[in-house]
Amino acid sequence: MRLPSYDEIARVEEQLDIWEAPFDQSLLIAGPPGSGKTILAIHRAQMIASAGTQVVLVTFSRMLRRLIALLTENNVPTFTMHQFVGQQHYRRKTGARGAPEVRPLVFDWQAMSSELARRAVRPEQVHIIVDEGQDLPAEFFRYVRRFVARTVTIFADEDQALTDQRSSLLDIKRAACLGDPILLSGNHRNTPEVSRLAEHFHTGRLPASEVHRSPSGERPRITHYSTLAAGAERIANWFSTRGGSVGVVVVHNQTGRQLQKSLRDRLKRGRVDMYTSDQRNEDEIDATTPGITILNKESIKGQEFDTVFIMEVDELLPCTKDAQRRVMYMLCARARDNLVLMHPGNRLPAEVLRSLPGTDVLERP
Amino acid sequence: MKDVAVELPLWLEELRRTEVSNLVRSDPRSSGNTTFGLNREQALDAISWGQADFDAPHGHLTADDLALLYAYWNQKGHLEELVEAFRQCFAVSNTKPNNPIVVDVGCGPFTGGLALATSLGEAPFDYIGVDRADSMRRLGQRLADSALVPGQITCIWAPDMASVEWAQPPRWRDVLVIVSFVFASPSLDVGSMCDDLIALLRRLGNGSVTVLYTNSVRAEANCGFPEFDTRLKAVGFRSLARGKGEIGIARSGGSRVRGLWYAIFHRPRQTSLSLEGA
Ligand SMILES: C[S@@+](CC[C@H](N)C(=O)[O-])C[C@H]1O[C@@H](n2cnc3c(N)ncnc32)[C@H](O)[C@@H]1O
Repeated sequence: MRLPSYDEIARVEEQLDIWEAPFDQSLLIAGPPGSGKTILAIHRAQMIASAGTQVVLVTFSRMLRRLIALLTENNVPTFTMHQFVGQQHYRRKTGARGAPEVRPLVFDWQAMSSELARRAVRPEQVHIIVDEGQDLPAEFFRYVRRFVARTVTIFADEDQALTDQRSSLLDIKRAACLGDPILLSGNHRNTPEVSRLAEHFHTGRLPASEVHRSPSGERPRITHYSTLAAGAERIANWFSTRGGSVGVVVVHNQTGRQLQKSLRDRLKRGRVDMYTSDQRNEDEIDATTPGITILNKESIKGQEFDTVFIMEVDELLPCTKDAQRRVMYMLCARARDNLVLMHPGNRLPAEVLRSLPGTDVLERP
Repeated sequence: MKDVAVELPLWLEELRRTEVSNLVRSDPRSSGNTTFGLNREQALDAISWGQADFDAPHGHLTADDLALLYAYWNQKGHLEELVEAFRQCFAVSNTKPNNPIVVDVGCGPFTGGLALATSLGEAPFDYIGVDRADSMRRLGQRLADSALVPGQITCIWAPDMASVEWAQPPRWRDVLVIVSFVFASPSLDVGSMCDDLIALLRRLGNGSVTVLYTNSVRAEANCGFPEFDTRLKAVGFRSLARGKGEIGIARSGGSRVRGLWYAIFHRPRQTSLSLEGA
């Protein structure tokens, strides 16, 4: 992530609307990948905090929480939704341990609401700012407005939603009692080449973004690897020659672990990290620095890298359902400059090849 | 609008000569001053001054003959008006739309596309020509395909706005809607045209939309305009200019003045997504 200066942000008129929106105004903001949602969320949080109002940033994933902590140097309280709800429950409910769940990681919103209502808990003078709101359940937004905060600012892109508990913009609007979303139109992250491949997978009703970067002359490509070691070799070579921040997406964490070992063996110098939700090791990783970061599709949400390799892409293609398209759309849009789709074996099934865009968009067999 | 005569560019004169006049003139039925055997009055009568059903053969005239007669007798004046209108629009804002999408409602033989190509020169645009008459779209397509037309224009043709095959996702591109001499047609239902236009604009995206309406000054020809005005305003358009205007045109025997009724509406890019409206 590169933090744009205020000048850069202010130049973008539409972002100025959000920048200058009164701090006590609740907002719903929708924007495509690269439109600066996280940066705007952080700036709004910092402005509100410096005006003396308590503010909390809430994200979907631990990796995004970590990224925000890095970008804000930990000066804005930032939590994942799970951490936040658990902590609120403890605070508001005279010390009860852990919020009730219907199954692990799925809150029992009903039970929580009746409990808080019984205790006449009311929202407080705090501003909650949510990033990647599309992946949080509508019940969360209802809960926040009813019991936690008088004002909320929610950033979301329903076209990138991944989880089963996801919320559409309309769900969020209704649950959080907000107006229609303000749309961000610009893509400041991807090269036009990367954006074109991402757009190939785009579904949904948000308008395709206006790409502000100039062409790089480097199209995304799809290639194969005969063994995972050979795949690691390519990534290592790339990193040795090009450097920068490299994100590697894996479908299976097992693949990621093998890849990490292989990459560490090959690269004497340089960072090779892997985050998994069972290790909860996000605080040991600084994905904004040069190096390789291995992530799965859930944990890469909201991140960006100079180069992205999507491994095991044969398991993500062809996209026959919108849910699969949203995944590919989100994954492709993580790459600032270069994007490589990789699959094991030496050929892709015909139906996968047919589903991919032509060579004007993707270097391919 | 102005008093100096509008001049069409040479390529357009050449296009009209090769693709329209020569075909009409060299037809065995044409002789002397007649077109397909009809003098000017009879020809204009055959095409009902532009309001005919251009797919219904008329006497010995085929549907394609009718479209050609329209291009021969009527289209030039409309081209001149649109060229002048664009000249003024772009002069005021001092910027031309960047790679816009053009929706030409009741396009006839590519009239709005030819006028815009004149104004934009080499600059690219996507053109959506909508006309209920197959013969008009056939002729329009033929003109659009000519190598004489400058710039890179991508064309889509459809008999109505609902069947426009627009494959791109909604974007932020500027849209220019041209409604030139369509409101007098008995076959036009203003209400459903507005419904279709609003739905099509939604498919195209959230960019700014400019609507240019031109028509004859006759009151009956514009009786649907108040409804159009109301419907556009209901979806966020503002009326920027309207009224009766005049343009100077050059014809054999000197320059003349042509009256027209014009209106311009504009809606800025829509930065809020209406979730429950649609
Ligand atoms: C007088 S011509 C105008 C053509 C062109 N706009 C011009 O200015 O030269 C009217 C055109 O509108 C078309 N038209 C009439 N009713 C229509 C409708 N409901 N939908 C689409 N086109 C229609 C006719 O087929 C005819 O080509």
